[in-house]
Amino acid sequence: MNYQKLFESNISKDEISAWRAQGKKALGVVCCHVPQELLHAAGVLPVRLRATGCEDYSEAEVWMSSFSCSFAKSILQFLIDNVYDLDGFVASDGCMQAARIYDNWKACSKKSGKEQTIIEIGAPRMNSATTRAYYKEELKILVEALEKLTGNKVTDEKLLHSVETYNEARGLVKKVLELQKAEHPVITGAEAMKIMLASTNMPVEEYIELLKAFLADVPNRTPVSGFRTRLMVIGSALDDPRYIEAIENKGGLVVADTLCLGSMTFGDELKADKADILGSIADYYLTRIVCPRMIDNRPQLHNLIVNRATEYKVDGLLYVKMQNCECWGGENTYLEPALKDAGVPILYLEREEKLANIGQLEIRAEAFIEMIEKEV
Amino acid sequence: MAKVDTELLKVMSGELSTTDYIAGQCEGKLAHTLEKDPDSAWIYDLQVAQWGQIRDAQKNGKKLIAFGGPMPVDIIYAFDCQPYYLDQLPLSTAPKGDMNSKFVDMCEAKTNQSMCSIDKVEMGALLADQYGLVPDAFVYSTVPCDSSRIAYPIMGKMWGCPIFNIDLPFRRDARGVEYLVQQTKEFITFMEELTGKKLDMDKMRASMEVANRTNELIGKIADLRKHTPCPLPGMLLVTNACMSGMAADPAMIPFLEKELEMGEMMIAMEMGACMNGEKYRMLFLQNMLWTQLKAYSYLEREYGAICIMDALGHYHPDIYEDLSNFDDCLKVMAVKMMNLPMIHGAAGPVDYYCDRITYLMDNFNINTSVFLGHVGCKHTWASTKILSDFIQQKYDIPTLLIDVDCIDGRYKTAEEVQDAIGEYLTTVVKL
Repeated sequence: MNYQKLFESNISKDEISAWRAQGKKALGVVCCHVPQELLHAAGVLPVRLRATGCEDYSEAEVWMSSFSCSFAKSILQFLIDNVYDLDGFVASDGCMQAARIYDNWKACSKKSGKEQTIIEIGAPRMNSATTRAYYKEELKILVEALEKLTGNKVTDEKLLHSVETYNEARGLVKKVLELQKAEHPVITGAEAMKIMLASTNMPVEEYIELLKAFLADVPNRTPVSGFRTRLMVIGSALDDPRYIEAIENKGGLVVADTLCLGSMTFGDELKADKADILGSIADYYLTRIVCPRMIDNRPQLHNLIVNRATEYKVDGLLYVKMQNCECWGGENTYLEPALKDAGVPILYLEREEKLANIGQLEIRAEAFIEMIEKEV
Repeated sequence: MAKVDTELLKVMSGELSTTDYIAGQCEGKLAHTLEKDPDSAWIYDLQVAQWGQIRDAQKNGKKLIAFGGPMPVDIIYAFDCQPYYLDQLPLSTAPKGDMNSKFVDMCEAKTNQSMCSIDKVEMGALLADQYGLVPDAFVYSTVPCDSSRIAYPIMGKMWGCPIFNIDLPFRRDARGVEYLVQQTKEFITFMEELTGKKLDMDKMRASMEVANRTNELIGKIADLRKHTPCPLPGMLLVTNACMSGMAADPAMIPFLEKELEMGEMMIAMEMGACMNGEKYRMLFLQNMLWTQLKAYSYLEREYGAICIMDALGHYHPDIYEDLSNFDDCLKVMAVKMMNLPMIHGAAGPVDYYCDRITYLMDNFNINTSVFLGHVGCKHTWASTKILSDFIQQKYDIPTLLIDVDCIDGRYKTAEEVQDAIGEYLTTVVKL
């Protein structure tokens, strides 16, 4: 099976249009606190929204101002430009910028006569028995809305099947990521990112088959050589493999990440209690570590980052923050000393969604690589 | 030659804590006012009480509870503890440019330039170790914003004191109320463990009675602002912020009574706060310009333009109807948290922001709309077109968007802000 589709990171509406042509619904998903299993169980194609390749978000900026996160603005721009061919989207209040995509598209689509199904669920920003119970109720509301939209009943059997399907994808992605632990991995960081981004663009079943084909072909792939350092990327939403390529072109192989559109999307297996599948999903999505949007997960997030840096034997860490991203604005205060203790140097980078100042990035990355190369 | 504020220099050099400085300043101003203009002393009485209580709480055997965002503060009073609403620090020091700059810079060195400067000052003062106290507990909620949700956990770790969090729901419905009621019960358990004593229902009722009285007064004061001409100056809207931390503090009552009395007297005398006549009744869609409060007086004097209300600062009075029914009171507390200034408009879907604006537009005879937007408040900036379109369509009033930093005066001077608003009033606003 040809798995090249895994490496096509540009957003294409073809897959979505083909899905909808069968009379089925496709909904965008804003932020990773919307469990895609629910949409899948309702027969909806979940399309995790991103903005790869958005170079001009000026119209969205009229709505969201220049003080907003450009990732959020770019998603809004793609909605305005109909880059995706969707029936609507489901958003969670991941961060407050993500929540404003919901508000602005609701207003903008109404103004332009393109009103769609737009659903917002409240995802608590702390993890306790009380908040998990509340979140479960939010998920029930989402299920009801999906049933109404599709006419499909979301049964426990369907939910369990969806959980198992997504767990299979999680397991396969984990195997892909394990490849990066090798001294000479068979994929670059940019390729790994493309593989993970591909999940946003197709039905999960197709994604699973492509991953299986890729993994079967691993013995035939040529290990990457010639790099000078092993790097890890953390920070705000990053969905542009060209950014990683620019760094890798300077000799820094990206072998690990904790990005919300990267490895953190997948996480560990979701263990479903058959007596309370929706509750299990709620528990999983609030408990798993993704980003600093939660008020009470910092020590766990920092431990995860430090452990991953150690596990993947990285020589340096790139802390890439989106301009105006508050969530990733303060982690360095405690993360920096923890990484220092683990002997991992950090390079702080700030970016916009459009690939601006790539020359500056290359110079800074190269200088950092030279610096830590000496320490290796 | 300008008088040198030697105490401020001590803060700048790290010798004096922010708490001691502000409390000392308030006491000094009160003493001066009592000597020169005793009738105005009521303005400083509140500040002396506010900062003196924070400074002296632990000396007086009270636990000091630092808090941020919407929390059930009336309960803190019922436990005989002293709340310290952290936003009081940057709001109080905003006019002291050098001091705020110091803390903003210290915070930026450790975190993020784009963080809200309210949080920068709060965190910067801690990085500089200049609170002069360590709270006995730090309790905070998951809103108002992404900035606070980053700053508070860091500060909590630095203080190393017990922490309690409340998650504010995205939607303000009955289920959201129940969600907050449950968390408030958990907060009571936290406070019981912290203080080693059970919640005394008599003290709880006393606390709620004070809160009822202050809410009633702040509601009446807001009503005065509906009058044309507006009897109270825009600058006095700072009172709303005091309510967030002090609604159940008996010191609020005489202050609010005096403010109400003053406003009623102005109306009786058929006078307004604009000495040369009132022309523009402005709704500021976001916060107060804490750094440049003199701009309010300037606009009133030069243009007859008065800030009738700031939408995010508007304090919505909620009354405990049945003090004998604590379950019912817990529900009111939940609503209070949802209705707290800023939270009511800024957190959650933008519809709530529009609702708040509708209430203010419909009831306060507004004819001018200004989004005086604090640059750190990115999620409200991300709703500016929705809000300005809404006001344009519903009220046929254009909105001026102007970026300011409410806390860091280096961003824009009072003169720049005044000129921008003045030019807008004279060239765009048609009355």
